[in-house]
Amino acid sequence: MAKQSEDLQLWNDFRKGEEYALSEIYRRHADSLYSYGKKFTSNSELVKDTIQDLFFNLIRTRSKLGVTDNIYFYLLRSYRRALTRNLKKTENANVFQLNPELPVMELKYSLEEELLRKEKLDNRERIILNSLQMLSPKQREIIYYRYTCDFDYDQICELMTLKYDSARKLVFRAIKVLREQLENDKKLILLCVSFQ
Amino acid sequence: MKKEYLHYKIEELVDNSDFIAWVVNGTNQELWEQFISNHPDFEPSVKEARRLIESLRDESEHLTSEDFHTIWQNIESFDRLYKSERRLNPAKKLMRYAAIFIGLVAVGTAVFHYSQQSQLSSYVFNTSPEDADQQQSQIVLADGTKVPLENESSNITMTGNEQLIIDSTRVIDMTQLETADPAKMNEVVIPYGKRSQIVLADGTHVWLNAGSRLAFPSQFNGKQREIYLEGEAYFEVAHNTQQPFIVNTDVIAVKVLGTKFNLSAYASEPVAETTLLEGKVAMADLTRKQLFNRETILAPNQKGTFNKEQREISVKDEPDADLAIAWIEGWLEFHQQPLSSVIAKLERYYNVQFKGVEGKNILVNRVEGKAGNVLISGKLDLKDSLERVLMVLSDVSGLQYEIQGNQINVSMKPN
Repeated sequence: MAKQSEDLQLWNDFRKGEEYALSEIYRRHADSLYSYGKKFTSNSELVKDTIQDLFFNLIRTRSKLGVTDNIYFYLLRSYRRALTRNLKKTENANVFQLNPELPVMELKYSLEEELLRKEKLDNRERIILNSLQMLSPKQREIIYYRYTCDFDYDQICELMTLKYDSARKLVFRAIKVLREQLENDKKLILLCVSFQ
Repeated sequence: MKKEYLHYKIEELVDNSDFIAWVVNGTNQELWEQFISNHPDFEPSVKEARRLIESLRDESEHLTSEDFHTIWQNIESFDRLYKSERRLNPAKKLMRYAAIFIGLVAVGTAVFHYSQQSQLSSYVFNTSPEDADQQQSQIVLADGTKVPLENESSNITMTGNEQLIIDSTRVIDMTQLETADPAKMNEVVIPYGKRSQIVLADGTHVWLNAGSRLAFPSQFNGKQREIYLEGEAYFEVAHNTQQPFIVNTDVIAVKVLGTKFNLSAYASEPVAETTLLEGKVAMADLTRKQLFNRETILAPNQKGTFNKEQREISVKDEPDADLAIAWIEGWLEFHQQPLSSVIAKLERYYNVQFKGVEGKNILVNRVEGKAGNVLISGKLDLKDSLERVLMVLSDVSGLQYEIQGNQINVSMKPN
């Protein structure tokens, strides 16, 4: 609750044109926005440009902005659109591209990237990698919002244009997959210990 | 803390908002600790649920502090610039951006050169947007003299020897003004509900639509003919390849060699549109920070739409391009246009406000609202009374209305 009224206040101050509010919003969210953007692309220049443009746009539309008590969510809504657009643009720049469809927002877990780069994986790492790779792009994204951003289902549905029920189903199935995998992992560790 | 948590399966716990808020943000830390120590049996589930959530959290990529500061500096300078120049003209804005971003920009091939050649380093409308809200059309001369325009649809002609003729009755000799600088701008302000026709010094015809402002010099000296528009106008540009004709708006510039086109750039609309009837024009986005910008070329019967939010110009074929200028004849013709855009036009012509009775259902979101998506085809005679026009509109759109002075309350007819 405290966070909500704080956000409400800060956002209203920004809309009113208070000097401190812009830098405060940037200070609080720039890093998370970067981290979020990097989940979709390894192109950090594109991510940084998109963050900058997002703030330029806030300044430009300052007087017309709506009310919010969750600034990060408010930012992500336009930021996600801008990222998709910019990603699409860089892909379009490639004239020889055969598949001119919209890029799917494919969210990569950094742990996953790290593991994929590794030449040899131990058992535990292989299990985690397997389970992460069993998630669909939608599940990855939704789980990111749920557990890294702490968004509720209403917000997630709005961001991803999903229905409430399908969003819940996606999360539930994802958790189930991961839990099963981690269970196996536990058994495996026990197995290893008993052999030693 | 709710007792029922004790009976939750791990999956349910992992999906519980209060639980997530605790793990992610430490919300109600003490309450949770208390609760768990009171119910030791609950602890293993909590541990496993926490472990699951933590393995799903991912915030490993961070901005370097250098990047963090660089981006902030850019944002801060943009903020300062924006505050100081909100009302300056786009050419100057572009120059300032160029100064800031010049270090970032590589030399491109298609050079955006309007502003560099511009004879006017800056331009601010002398009249304020509120002037356009007044009932009276007027022309504000370069020296600040305000001349009221009496007619609903007035005619202004700027002759080659700097005589300004209003409605064929009044003649003002511009060379006699105190500021005899021919590059100084005159402004025509047309409120909602009125229109005007202007002939510029080079013979170019401009039809200025309701709720618009146009700034133009008494003579076109220099390398190019530059004017400034806010609102909507139709241009028949006098051909002169030696001196390109440029219309600047707050977001785009349109460059012409001699042609007929309609330009709609109302500050209140989310898009600025150029519809080309004849010839060739180039559209350029003035909001981009880049010094070197691509021009978008339009062919006849094409419409270039600049979306202010996305800051992108898109081009599509417009076989009915002449519908875009039906307004100069005093009627509006629509072909499969959203109701919202029809209503926005009527508001400007009749100087009225439409309000949706059912609140959000009708007009709140002009672009994406439900009723806004109803597509309208047909022709409205603007010389008819507002009431007559509304009757016709109500017939084709399923909208019912009630007039209250300047306000028109509308709702969908019950099915």
